[in-house]
Amino acid sequence: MNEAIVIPMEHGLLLAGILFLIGLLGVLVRRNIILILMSLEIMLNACGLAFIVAGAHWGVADGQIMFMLILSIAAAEVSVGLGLLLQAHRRFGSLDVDQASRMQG
Amino acid sequence: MITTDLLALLPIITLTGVILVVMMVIAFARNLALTCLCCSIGLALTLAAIAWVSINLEPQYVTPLIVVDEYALLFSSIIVIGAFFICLLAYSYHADRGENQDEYLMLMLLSTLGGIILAHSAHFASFILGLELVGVSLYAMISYPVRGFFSLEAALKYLILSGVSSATLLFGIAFLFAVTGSLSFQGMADATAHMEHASVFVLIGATFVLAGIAFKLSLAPFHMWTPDVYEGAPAPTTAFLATVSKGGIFAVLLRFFVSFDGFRFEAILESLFWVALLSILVGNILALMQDKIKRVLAYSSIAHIGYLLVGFLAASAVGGKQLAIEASMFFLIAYFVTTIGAFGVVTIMSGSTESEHDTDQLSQYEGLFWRRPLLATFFSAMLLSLAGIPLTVGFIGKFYIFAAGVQSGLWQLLAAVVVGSGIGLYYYLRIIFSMTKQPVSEDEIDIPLAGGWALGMVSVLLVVLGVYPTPVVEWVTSVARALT
Amino acid sequence: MLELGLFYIAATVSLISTVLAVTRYNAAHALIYLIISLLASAIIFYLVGAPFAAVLEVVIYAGAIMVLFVFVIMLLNLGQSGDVAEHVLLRPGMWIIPSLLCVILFIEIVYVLQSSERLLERDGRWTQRSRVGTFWTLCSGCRDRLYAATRRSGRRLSPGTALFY
Repeated sequence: MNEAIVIPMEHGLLLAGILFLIGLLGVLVRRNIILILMSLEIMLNACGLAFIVAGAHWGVADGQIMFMLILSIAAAEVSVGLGLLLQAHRRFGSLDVDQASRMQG
Repeated sequence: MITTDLLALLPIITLTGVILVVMMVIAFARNLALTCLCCSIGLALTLAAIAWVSINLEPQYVTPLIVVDEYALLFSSIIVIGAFFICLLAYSYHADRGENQDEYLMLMLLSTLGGIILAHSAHFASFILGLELVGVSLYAMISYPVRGFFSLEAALKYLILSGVSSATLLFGIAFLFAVTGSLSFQGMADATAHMEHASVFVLIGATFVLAGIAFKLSLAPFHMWTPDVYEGAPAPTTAFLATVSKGGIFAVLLRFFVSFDGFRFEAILESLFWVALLSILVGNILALMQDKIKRVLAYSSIAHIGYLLVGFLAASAVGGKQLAIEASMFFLIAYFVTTIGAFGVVTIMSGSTESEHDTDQLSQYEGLFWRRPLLATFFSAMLLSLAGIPLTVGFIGKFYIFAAGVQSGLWQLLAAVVVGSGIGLYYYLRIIFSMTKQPVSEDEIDIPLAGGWALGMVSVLLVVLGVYPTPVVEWVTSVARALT
Repeated sequence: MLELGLFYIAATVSLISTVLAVTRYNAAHALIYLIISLLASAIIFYLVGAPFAAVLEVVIYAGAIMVLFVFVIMLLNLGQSGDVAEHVLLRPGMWIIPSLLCVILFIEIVYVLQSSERLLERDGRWTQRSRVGTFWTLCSGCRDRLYAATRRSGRRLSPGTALFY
């Protein structure tokens, strides 16, 4: 089988960290709900990457199991999110979160 | 899996079975009363299973993921009882609205299942599983009224907020996992046992985890959209969101901190201190400026979780741990009773309106004492309990927190609690005074049977626990002793 | 060192495509870049020894979940008008403050990862693992290989782990 190769864990985690931050940036900046959901996916995927890299470093399967959990969470969250998005597009006539925001907070 | 393992999981298995039965019932007969009956019986059965397990079985781990002990059973029973009352209230809320409202109760049971899993979790995998079970069902529960604008907006906001906080939490867990190589609470505790001070790595992981949890508990710097979500969601969902989901998450937070012994890390305590202080002050001050009951209750729940955190922080002092854990658990019970009651009143008030919004303007409550004296009395009792007036459970809870704080010498936080309670008293009394004014509208307020009884029982519980809290205190004490 | 090279190439591809995904005006373009980023992540998973996760990443993430997005974009039928609307929504100025915050967080993470080795060594956790050779302190260049050696010899093989390796 494919032997675990020497990739320093720090570099893997750094990559995961940067991806996570790009995702966060996307959530903060974008106003389009589709793009916000995509950015959430990027963040969750970065978490999965961090788990896999850390799991490979320690040689345990826990990291991959968490990855699968994240995968299913992401799928569940996105399917509900996209359902809400379709409703929002029908009712607000726009995908802009600011326009959807009618309450004061 | 051996037999005792399965027996220990009985509450979880029972509730899962009930959810499946309810799903089938909905498929064959779309009848809200029948669904509600199944749900209430199912929740009662779950409670019976919890009682059976707590009497007959020793504390034990079932797989590394789930731990069945007194602590888990205490939180599970609070969550199930809370869900039972909210189920009755939700039935009354939805009964008059026509359309297909049956799935709402099933989603609520799913979310309750998530809460129970959170209470039982001893591993980050089960933690995340429970958290998402609570969260994903809640998105649907929040956006349930199909016509309203606000509910959809609230659901979208909650979805984004909850997604970001889940991701933050997961990223923090990944960091902790990278340092310790373990995902169970105990394994992490063992791996960091020799650390006097947290290494930067642990610290950043713990910070991310705490930020994620603070989002979920809507503590102060992370509370951005909470009032909107509370306002937009239908009243029973708001009650559920404010109690069951937060109770489950707090259960994990406390268990993780006790087994990880996070109290030895100064930096973490420092940041929690600021979060608690800000929550109390921001929650109370912003509540002053609201004229919608739901928003007032939302901000006051932010403040209450802040008080809860004071009890939690008191566990950091040497020798103060047991009292502090007792105090937080009792305060949480008090918070459950009071919050379910307060949102229950809003639920019943909104049940009979035709409007797509809930009845939550302060002006709509004017003269309630003349129109519906009993309902107004219940509401006043809830508000007084939130304010912490003697003879109510809220007073005992706050007193407990205060005692724990004094024992651990958290003077600044105690000062904040006093100031916060003072401000709180003002806006709670403002609502009560407006209820005593002469009524403006003469609209009939129907009090539905199921919801009325649920509210009555909650009110009785509120006073009984306020006058004679000994049994619950003993229960909480034994659990806290077993935990520490 | 081929694998290491592949890792850095995949990491670069993933970073660039993610940045592009977040900055696109057209949702469909953003989606394509996101899929590329996910495929690059899959390569990284494969390289660190998690082939099953790599397959799942391609099949479920890039396959199933992204198809959901494609469906929604098709259903909404945004087209040119969506592009124009997005130009109004996304003004360049909006990037400044969030980017600053993220850069601060980024610096923190880099700092943590830089100092992690030293700190963990002091904590005695990782040094324990590297005690296989007395050369540890002398040849830091071989550190990575030593890690791998420890992993190969001392890997705890639970049934679950055996399934993956």
